[in-house]
Amino acid sequence: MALNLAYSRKRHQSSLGELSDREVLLEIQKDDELALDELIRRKTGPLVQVAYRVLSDMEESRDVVQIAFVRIWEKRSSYDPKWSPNTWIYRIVTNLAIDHLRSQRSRDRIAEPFRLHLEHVAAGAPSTARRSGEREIDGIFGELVEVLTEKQRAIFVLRELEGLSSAEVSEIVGCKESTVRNHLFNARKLLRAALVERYPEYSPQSGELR
Amino acid sequence: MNRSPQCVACPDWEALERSRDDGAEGETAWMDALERRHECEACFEAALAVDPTLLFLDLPPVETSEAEIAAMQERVAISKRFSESVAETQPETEGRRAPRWLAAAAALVVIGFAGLNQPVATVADLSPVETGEGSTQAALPSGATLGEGSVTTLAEHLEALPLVEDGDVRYEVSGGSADYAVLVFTGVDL
Repeated sequence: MALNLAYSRKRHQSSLGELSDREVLLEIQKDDELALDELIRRKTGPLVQVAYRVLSDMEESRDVVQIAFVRIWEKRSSYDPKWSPNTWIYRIVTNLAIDHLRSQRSRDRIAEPFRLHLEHVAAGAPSTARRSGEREIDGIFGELVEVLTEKQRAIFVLRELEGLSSAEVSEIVGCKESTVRNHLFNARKLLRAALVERYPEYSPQSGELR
Repeated sequence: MNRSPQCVACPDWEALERSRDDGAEGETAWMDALERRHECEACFEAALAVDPTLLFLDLPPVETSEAEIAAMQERVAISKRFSESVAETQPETEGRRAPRWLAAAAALVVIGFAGLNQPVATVADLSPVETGEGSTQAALPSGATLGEGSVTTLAEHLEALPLVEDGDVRYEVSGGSADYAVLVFTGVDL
């Protein structure tokens, strides 16, 4: 009996692997927990990547993605198969990441005097590898992205780094395409200025970037 | 990365950059050109010159191992069970969230308008004050009113609203020509 159940479960898992994302979401709507596992198997990587680009912290990104999967389960009845599965899922993750950033910034404001004190103390110490060029581009992006607002950050990541179209991004973040383009324009402008100011060695004009 | 020194017809990156935010057509042209930027060294450098942030397009992908996926499945299962057990013990909260927020927004509008162009009482201390039985009352001076001719204090006004419950915290800020009230719902789970 137990063997039969295990076999049937294995077969079901295997059949879920052949479904499209939309079909997996429809299975989740039928309270199929194995379908949720299948979605986690498919989407953990891409979603952690998006969350990480927005939050610049791997642990927080995993937490956000975990909450997103729970949210997907809780809201499963609200998924309409007319919608692109990725748009629906990315929307949940992006909103959670933006909320997380906002609450983090709020906490940072409270800790601002302490941070300033630490900076003051650190100012006496020699700056090590910051401008040495050893720092990975990944780390540079994590630092520079701080100059963007939560929404600019999410839009830049989705549009520029994940390669989604402005139309898709507008559905995910819930604003007009023209607003998305406006946010993008400003985000690029701020990032360029920060890159040239803080990391001139990565500016193509310096001739060092190869 | 193997790039040829020059492609057959390098696109005009500056023109592409100028029109990339103009609409779908400009966006598509920009994206098509970007896809081929690694094929030619001149293109790669010209693209970076017009937009140094393209540097970030080549960020390494975030790798996720099978073990991480299994851990995520386990974490989600635990969180799911936990939230389901919480929902079972508090079955009434789900249906009440939206109406409470709508009512909260309505309350803020009502209170904002009620105070317009009328004398207002200023609350010196914004700290909420405990009033017993787990209920917290706004730090409203005794007898303070919303405005001339009004007999309702802000606290009474809020008390009358169906959305406010014991344990919720109310703050009042008076300034200029308007009163503002901030309600913090301790029972609302965002």
